[in-house]
Amino acid sequence: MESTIEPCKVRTLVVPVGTWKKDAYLAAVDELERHGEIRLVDVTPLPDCTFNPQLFPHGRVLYSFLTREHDSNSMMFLHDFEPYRKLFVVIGLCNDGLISTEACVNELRERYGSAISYAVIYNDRSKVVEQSTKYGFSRSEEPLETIMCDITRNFLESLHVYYSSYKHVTLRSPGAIGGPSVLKTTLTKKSQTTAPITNPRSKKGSSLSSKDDSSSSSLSISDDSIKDKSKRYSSLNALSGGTSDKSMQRSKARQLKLLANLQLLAGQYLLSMNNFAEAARILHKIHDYIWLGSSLEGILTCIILISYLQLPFQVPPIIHSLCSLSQNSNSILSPTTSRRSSMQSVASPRNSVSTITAASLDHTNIDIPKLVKKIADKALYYYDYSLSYSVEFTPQVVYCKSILRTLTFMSLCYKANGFDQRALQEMIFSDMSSSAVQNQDSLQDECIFTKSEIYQYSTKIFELQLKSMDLSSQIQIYLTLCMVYDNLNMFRKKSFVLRILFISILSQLTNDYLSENYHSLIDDLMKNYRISGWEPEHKLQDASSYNWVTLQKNVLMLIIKISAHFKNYKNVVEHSQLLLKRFSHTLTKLEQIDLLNQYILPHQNEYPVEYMDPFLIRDICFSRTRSEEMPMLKVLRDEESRTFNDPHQIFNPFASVHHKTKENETENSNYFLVAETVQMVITFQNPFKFDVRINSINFTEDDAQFMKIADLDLTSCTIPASSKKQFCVGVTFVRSTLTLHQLKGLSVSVLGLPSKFWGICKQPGKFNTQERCTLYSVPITIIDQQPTLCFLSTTLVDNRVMLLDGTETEFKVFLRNSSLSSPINYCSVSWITNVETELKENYWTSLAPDDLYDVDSQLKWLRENFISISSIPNEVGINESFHFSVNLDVTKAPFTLKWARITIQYGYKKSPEDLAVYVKSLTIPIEITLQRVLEVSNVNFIPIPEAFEAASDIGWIKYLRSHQSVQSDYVLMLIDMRNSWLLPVSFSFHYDEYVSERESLDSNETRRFVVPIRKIANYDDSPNFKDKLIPRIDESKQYLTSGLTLTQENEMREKFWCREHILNRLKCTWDTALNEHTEGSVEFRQFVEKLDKQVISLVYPPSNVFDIKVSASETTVKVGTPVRLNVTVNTTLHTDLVPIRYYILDYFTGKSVLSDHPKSIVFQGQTSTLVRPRITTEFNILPLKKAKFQIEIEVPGNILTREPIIITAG
Amino acid sequence: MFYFTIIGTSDNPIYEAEFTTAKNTFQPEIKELNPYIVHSTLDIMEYLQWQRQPQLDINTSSGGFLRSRHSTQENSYLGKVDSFYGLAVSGFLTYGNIKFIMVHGNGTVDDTVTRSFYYEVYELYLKTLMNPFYKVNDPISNSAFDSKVRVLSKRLFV
Repeated sequence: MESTIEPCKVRTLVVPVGTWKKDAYLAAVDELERHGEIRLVDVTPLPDCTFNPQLFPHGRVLYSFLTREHDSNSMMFLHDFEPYRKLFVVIGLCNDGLISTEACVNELRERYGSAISYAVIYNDRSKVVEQSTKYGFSRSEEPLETIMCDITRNFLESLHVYYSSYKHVTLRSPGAIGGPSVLKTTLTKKSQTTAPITNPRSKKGSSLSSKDDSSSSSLSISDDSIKDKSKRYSSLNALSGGTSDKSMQRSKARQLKLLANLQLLAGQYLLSMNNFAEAARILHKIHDYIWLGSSLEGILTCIILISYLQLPFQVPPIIHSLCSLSQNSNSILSPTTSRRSSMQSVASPRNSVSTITAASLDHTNIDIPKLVKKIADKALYYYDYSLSYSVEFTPQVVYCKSILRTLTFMSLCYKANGFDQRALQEMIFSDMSSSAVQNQDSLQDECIFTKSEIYQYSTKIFELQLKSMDLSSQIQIYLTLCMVYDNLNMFRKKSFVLRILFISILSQLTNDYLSENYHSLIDDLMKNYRISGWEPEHKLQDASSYNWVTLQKNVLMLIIKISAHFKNYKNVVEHSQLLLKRFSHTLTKLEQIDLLNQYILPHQNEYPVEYMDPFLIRDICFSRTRSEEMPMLKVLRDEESRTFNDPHQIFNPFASVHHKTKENETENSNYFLVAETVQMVITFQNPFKFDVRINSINFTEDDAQFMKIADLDLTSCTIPASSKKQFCVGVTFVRSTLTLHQLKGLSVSVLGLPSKFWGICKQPGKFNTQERCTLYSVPITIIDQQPTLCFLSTTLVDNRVMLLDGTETEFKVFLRNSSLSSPINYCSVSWITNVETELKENYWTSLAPDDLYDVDSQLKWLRENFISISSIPNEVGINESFHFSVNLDVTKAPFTLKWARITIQYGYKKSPEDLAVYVKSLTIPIEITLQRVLEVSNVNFIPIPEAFEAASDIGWIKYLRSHQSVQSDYVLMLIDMRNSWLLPVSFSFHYDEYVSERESLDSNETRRFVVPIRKIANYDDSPNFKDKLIPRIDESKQYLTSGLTLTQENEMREKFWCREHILNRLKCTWDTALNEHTEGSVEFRQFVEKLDKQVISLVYPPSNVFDIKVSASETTVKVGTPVRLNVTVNTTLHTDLVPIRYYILDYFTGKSVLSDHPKSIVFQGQTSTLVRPRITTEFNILPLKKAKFQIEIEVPGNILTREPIIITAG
Repeated sequence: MFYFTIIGTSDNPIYEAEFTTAKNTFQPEIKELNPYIVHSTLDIMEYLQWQRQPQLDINTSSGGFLRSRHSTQENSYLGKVDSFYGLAVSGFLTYGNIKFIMVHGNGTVDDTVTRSFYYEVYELYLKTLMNPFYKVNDPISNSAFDSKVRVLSKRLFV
């Protein structure tokens, strides 16, 4: 990079001597660089030398250490014009003390003949005794600083000799030396860059310039050597003589400039500045613009350096004059001293110059940066002007570097936010304290140079045809521009320039120009185009953000190419992977294949290469080829853990749904048996446009202890481009898992790369999650081999059984444990019938509580009593047979019963304490035909009309007679029984202590039987049924409301409890007459309907709100004789009128006779009327034909007469 | 020949278009360079965004985005903001910090035409922005927008 003070740097080449390791050598060079500034005061005086350090002890010699020589020959034409471009010193760093100094120096001199001073620095020379020379130094004997001072002394001495050789030489312009090989500055927009120069020379037009050219061209290298020699002598004369001849003056001025340049190198800044000023004065006078420009640049370098030394100085009058300081004093003069500055004239050594009228300016009065810029502008202006000449022109490299130096200066002033010691440090030791200078973008308004001004200046570079320059110059220009833009915080501009730089490098064949430091440039490029730090494969935020992917892709391609250019294949591989990983969607198929085959795969053995897609595996699932029953995990003691009876638990209508889901889960989860082989289906994805071949699939170490790949056919394992593909792999399970095992991924090798673990990315990340992808794992449970139970036979024929209703039967089931590895020690039997399966799940929601009780009690009975199993062994050994007995009880079975399924859940419990066991189930279906035997076709209740006085043989009459005192407490239950069986059946009824005589019914015969039942009211413990809730069998079913009114509910309770009362007491047992062994019972619940009101009023005491008493004048009358009925209604209510209704029924049929035709009885005409309570009301009726009438009177909605009146018309 | 882009707030291109004719087309290397030029111009745009005075000399016709509040002139149009060899770059900054940048292949910026082009595209952009399904910084994939911009460019530039 071009430093601001490049003209004062002594180019020093550092070469290794001996056998160095690279790192040690670079460290030694680093240390040397830390001693690159030598104060003249420390250097031993050289009394007879032109560059005696004592002349300006404040001065410094600044070294620029190079480790490789780039352009010593190609820039030879510049050595007269810009002597500082020459290589001056060669220092050999020697780590081998045995090499002699002289041999070493001779070698250096031979190789680098263009240098003027040589030195060898030994690491350690204590053991070698050699005559000390002034070129050999040993670090073990003296510190490096002292060595450098000695080297400086040698250098100054040699510089004196070097300068002496120039005394007899005419200095020629670079264009004259280099001839046509020198690249002339080419401006793309020449017209706008230069304003008409206000110079008397311009008025003379082209004729003069061509004349001048001819004079210069006579000095060109092609000229005759004798002529050349004479000219040189003449120039020597000019220097000494002070003639007015123009060429003499030119020679003198150029010599002065050369001297000034060398003085600048030797650290004598004040002398140098004066010489530059004097040279400039003369050059200006004789219109030698290119040298004038260079002299001005020399002056500005001196000003910067003297400012750095913080010494007082005066601005040379020529600057004053050329840069028109007096006219622009406002901008150049520092604001504090502007008023007095112009008057403060201090005698300059050359102030006798007649053209300069104003006095020289003291440094304290001026704004140095502005002045420097002004001088640089002027220098550029003269360079510009020189471009119209054919020989005395400014070469492009000089022009460019002048711009770059100014740019560096401005940008450093901007970065340091001023022109202080820090900024100067940065300018002089550019790479030493760059971090010390903080960039202060916020204060840019107060800066000496604004950002736009600097940027504007930098665009001058792009007016030049940089492509035509040699590569090393291009690299320097671009790197300097990068630094400038970096100082300006214009990182995008910097990246842009870097890209141009890389493109330029790629266009050249050589790769000798960039050092290893280009890595940092690549990093910069990556950072500024937001490639680094953008990780869409990991961060969801990045993946969903938009970027300039075309730019990023092109930059990455460029980086890959540049890395390949420098044979840095590590970078090539790394960035190629990055490109494929993040930008595959922007790449064409050809590009992707090229990247893979040219850049990645060939280097996979040397550098780490990973497959680029992080989501290779999209899914893993298992499938069985055989449909074998899998054991199911059954938790024992489940019932205990449930808390159904918790009174605080709120009814959850979804509980059953939840329960069901859990069952399904168990069924669907991956349960496998040890030694079982199943298919593992892996879904791979390939987002790339090339086919991806899978080389191996394996389980990770953790997974491999449980399962292994059984058969892997990888011949067809290629995922086609841009697609997903499923592969089936056989998996065998090796060991059982203790708990649930999670299969998190597989170890897969693709494209011949090493195996790597890949997680399962089933679902891409959603926008509300942080993760790019939610990794999925497959739950697996591997269990030991389980026993298998085989059904052998039963004692039934074809598993079918015919049963007589109300009987029981028993049969045996024969089974065998066919497993050869596992016994059975857990067995649990359950059953289900068609009655349960045919019920709807929510059957109970639409049933009234009393109906529900019937259904539920039936289900309960089926569940608990229908089947009983006996003699199941505790353990069934391997390959052992056994049997158990099943008792089918159909005493209370519903007639709809058609089949039952007995399910045996069996398994092997490793220890008795196990809380869960894997069970398999075996189901035995049994077809059942239920044959009805005794049926009840009708049931009726009648009161006992009159006391039984006469003795009788009939059983129930006998029974009633024995309870004569309380006969009115009984009612008669009339039961019509029918025998539906093929054989006669004998049976008897039981009700409380009443036992009927044995009756017999032939097949298909129906007969009525009478059972006396005691009225419920007469039981001592008869409760109030209205207050007794209808019980719920299944407590899990809860009702919010039954939907009934209180009255309806009370009525229902009465009916329910009355029926229950009777059913609980009424029994009937039967046996077939022919076969003593067949016996059964009748389940009346199935036949007895709900009781109606009349029955209730018979068997259960009415409510005592109303009490109706009816009496008849006569109970036996002749036809046509009126009968008077006295009705008295007593009530506890305070009411005036009570509605009553009466029914006149035929005693035998129970039908109403009111609507008979012809009429059998005459009555009042109304069947309902209002009566006064507690007052007897009379009704008259007139029987018209022979009959027996039953008259019942009721208060509607309440009660009936307890005892109906019976009137017999004879 | 022109290369027009709309750049979002995080240096992402929202819309890109080339306005060329059969005769006037970008050379392939310039075509590749155009996005880089636009990207590097963002530095200048961001600089001008915070300037009150037109400091950039290339920027002859217009000033920084933050011009004096006493000025009633529109300030979104920034005129010529950058150049690279024979190419000129003009810029326009919306109040939502969206940047319109155009590379002029002919090297000159006709302020009158370019200004009206930018303002009309701005109007189209605002209409797009009002679409409830469009989010700021999303690429504009609407073909209607594209065709309207192209019609506009034909009317003004060709």
